[in-house]
Amino acid sequence: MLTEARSRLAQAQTDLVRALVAQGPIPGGFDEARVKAAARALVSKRRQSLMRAWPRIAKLLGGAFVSRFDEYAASHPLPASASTLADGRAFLRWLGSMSDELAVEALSFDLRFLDTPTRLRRRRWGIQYARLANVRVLAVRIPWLGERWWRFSAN
Amino acid sequence: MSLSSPQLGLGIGWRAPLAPAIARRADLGFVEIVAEDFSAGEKLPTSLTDLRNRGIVVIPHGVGLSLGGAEPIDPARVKALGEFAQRLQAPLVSEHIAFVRAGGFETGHLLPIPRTRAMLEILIENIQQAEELLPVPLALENIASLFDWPGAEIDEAAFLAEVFERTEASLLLDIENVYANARNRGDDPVAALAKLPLGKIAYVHIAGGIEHGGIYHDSHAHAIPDGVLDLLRELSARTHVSGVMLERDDRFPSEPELNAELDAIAAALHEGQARRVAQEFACHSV
Repeated sequence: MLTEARSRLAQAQTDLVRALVAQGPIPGGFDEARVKAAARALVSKRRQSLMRAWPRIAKLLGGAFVSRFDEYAASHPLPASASTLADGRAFLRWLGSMSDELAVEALSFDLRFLDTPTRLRRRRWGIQYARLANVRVLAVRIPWLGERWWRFSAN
Repeated sequence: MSLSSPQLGLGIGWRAPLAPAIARRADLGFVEIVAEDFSAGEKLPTSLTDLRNRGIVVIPHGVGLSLGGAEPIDPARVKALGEFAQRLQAPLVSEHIAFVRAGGFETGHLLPIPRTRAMLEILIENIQQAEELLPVPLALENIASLFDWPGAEIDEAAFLAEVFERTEASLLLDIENVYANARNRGDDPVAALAKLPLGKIAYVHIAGGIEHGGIYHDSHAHAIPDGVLDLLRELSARTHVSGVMLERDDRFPSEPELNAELDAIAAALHEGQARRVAQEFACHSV
């Protein structure tokens, strides 16, 4: 139960955050041009964080990375954990169809990590299998032994 | 200057791509790490434990407490920060005067708060609650923002002064943020700096930014502008600076470039100090 003052602040801050990350209307009294610039800066920051933390995604998408990520970010706020890697995984999920190399990146995330509302957790063990366009991939993660990957022909 | 603030010297924000250059730098007194980048259960990178073994202070810098938020502070987050400080044997922790989440949305960004009496009371309450749970002192950073909330009742300097009068926290003065806000508000950066509670500084951040679209962005990805180095000189001419660190988060420079920036910071600090000492001497001589 928030105090009245905190409730009022919560509403005002929610309105501002919606404007910044969820295409919400800019609340009255704010400098619209500056708030829009800030919203763009937030997307830019997310994109740059992803490039640093998971460079393979930007490399594999090449020139299309910036526009595709910005399109994803406009309609998908950060995951609850605020994890950059989880953001990258959600981006790959949003992309839908993708090259085998990108699918392998997604699979390696699913093998190694679990995103939770509070933080990104490392999996101690996991198993992932995918039938991709040109290859079938099986990957296993075991405590102390690390990872083993197998690739089979698509047939 | 608070009597309890440790003498830190020259420092830098530790980032993995800069680790080799940081390890080779001989004159660092401290580094700062982003607390949320490190998991409680995991081992620290060797390069960080090496720095600790050399006696270099490592300060954990939080970005997730959202002290300027409407919700009461999350005790689990505060305790995690406190435990990390103990693990690092850090003399203090730092956080921000900002909020980062609202309405179920994580923004991953430090957002400005309204400068009203009502906000001040909530902020001070959140800070005091955090301080009760922390085993070490807390320093709070002033942030840069491209926009201000409408309906401000207090100016930034008075707002900050009251925070530091009414809590035990000290100021992590980010002079690039002072510069950025002054530029974007059309104010004089030195005048803005002079009004701040300089006696409450724990340590100082300095960084580079870039102007585009007629707006100055504190990118932490570009060289420190002359105007920002001037501010450090001005600060050092007005008060003793116990620690100043470079923040570089992206577009990482070569080692020679990085060293040149650190040298420029040390030089600006000393130039200001020389002016201050000369003035004090002149006053005493009269």
